[in-house]
Amino acid sequence: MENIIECKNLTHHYGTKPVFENLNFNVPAGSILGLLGKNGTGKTTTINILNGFLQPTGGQCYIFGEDSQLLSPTTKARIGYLLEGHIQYGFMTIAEIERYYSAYYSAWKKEPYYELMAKLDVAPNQKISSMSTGQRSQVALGLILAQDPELLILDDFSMGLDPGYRRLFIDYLREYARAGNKTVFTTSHIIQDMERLIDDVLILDSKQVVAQQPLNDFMEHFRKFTFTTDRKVEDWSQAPAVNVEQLNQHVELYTWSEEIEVKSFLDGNGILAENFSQENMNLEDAFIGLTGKY
Amino acid sequence: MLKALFIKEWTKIRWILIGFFAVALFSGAKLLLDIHHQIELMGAGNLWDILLFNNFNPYRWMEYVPLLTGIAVALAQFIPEVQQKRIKLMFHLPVNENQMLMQLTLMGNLFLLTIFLSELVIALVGITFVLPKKLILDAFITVAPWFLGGITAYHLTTMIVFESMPVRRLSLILVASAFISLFYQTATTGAYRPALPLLAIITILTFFTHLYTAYRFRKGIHQ
Repeated sequence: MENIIECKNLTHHYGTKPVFENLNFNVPAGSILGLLGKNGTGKTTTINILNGFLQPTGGQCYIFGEDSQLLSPTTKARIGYLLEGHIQYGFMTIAEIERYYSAYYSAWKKEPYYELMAKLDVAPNQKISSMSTGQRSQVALGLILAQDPELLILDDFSMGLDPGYRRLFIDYLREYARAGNKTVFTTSHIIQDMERLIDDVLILDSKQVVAQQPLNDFMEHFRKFTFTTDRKVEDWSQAPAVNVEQLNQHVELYTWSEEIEVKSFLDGNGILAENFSQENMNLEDAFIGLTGKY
Repeated sequence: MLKALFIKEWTKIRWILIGFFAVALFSGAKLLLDIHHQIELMGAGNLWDILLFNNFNPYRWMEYVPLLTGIAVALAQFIPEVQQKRIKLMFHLPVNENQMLMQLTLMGNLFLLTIFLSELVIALVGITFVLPKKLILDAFITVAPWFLGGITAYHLTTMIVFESMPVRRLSLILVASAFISLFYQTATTGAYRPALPLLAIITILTFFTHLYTAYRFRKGIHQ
């Protein structure tokens, strides 16, 4: 499958502080990929590099085969971009902003925009600055739908939205992306939202990619085992696990390994595990399990 | 696209522009009234005499109005763009980024020229009925650097607004102040006659100065 986004050995430092090093990832055509990471792992940095708004310290990203630092106007027309916080021109009304953007895109379709605006309780001459964050998010989304891009890059689309608007945003976006076979690269700090939206997951931690795969595969192969033990284990580093948290007798072990390998390790190290079980996780549990709480 | 950009910029700063346009009309009208008032008081012959031989400068009070206009228009036009990095929306449009930046400043220049020319036309055309051509030309040569200074201040303020590093911004303010002061060395009638072409060239060249700081802003360069 053709890759719409390809990043190779992407490295970025702010001053001497590295944000990430040698990231390699691809976003195939038609996928809805969610970029997950704790604060400071470089989600917005990655999006800025993809849009050419930040020169990486090393490596390159290519979008539709073009270096993201040198995107041509033709390629930019194929990319829809949502800024963090749903920022738009607050001094314009919903009609003025639609007319403004329509001048720049030959394939502009105003119908989806006005269809979405009709759902909002706003007057046509109301300025965007006087709208709620939720309403502004719909304006920003509506403009992207009217642009009808092949690739959508969304920077924390959940920011500032109440649950209703988040749901509305996701439902519209998912339907639009699936119907038009669009590629979506998105971040959100609310992982439940990602779970409802994405097909593929890309997780950043410790300055690198720690997982990139279809969401279903991730949820199937990343496991959480819980058990109790009387033994206080100081060092779990030899365990077949990416993260182990022990609170008194209760142990949570997150791993890519099968149950049999985990039990074999426990047996081999004389750790008597009682009430051993595999627990179901949602994406947020799995994300925290993989990257840790701190 | 230019029409869309024009409407957007007009919508953004129209109240500032209307305000300064009103100031410009007031300035032009005040100068006109002042000249006619002087003629009523002392007669046209005496006014010509002091204008020619006593270096009387009735328009001196408006020296810094174009400067303030240029700075205010640049701030009104570009601060909303750099706040929350809103200008990313513009850079994402399917247009070359430098071309877009130049179109933006072209709009600003167009707004300023409209304001300045209105002011000059009212003031200078109004006094053609009472003063000879030589004095009108002298008046134009005397005020022209102030208007060029206003446009230069617009360009350089735009350059400064795009700079995100405080130390660099301070350095640019100092350099810009030195440049702009070239336009305000003296208000002596006709003193800038030999320097006007050079000042005009400086003004044109400063049109491009924001491209560098805007590039740094666009690429997130903070050093």
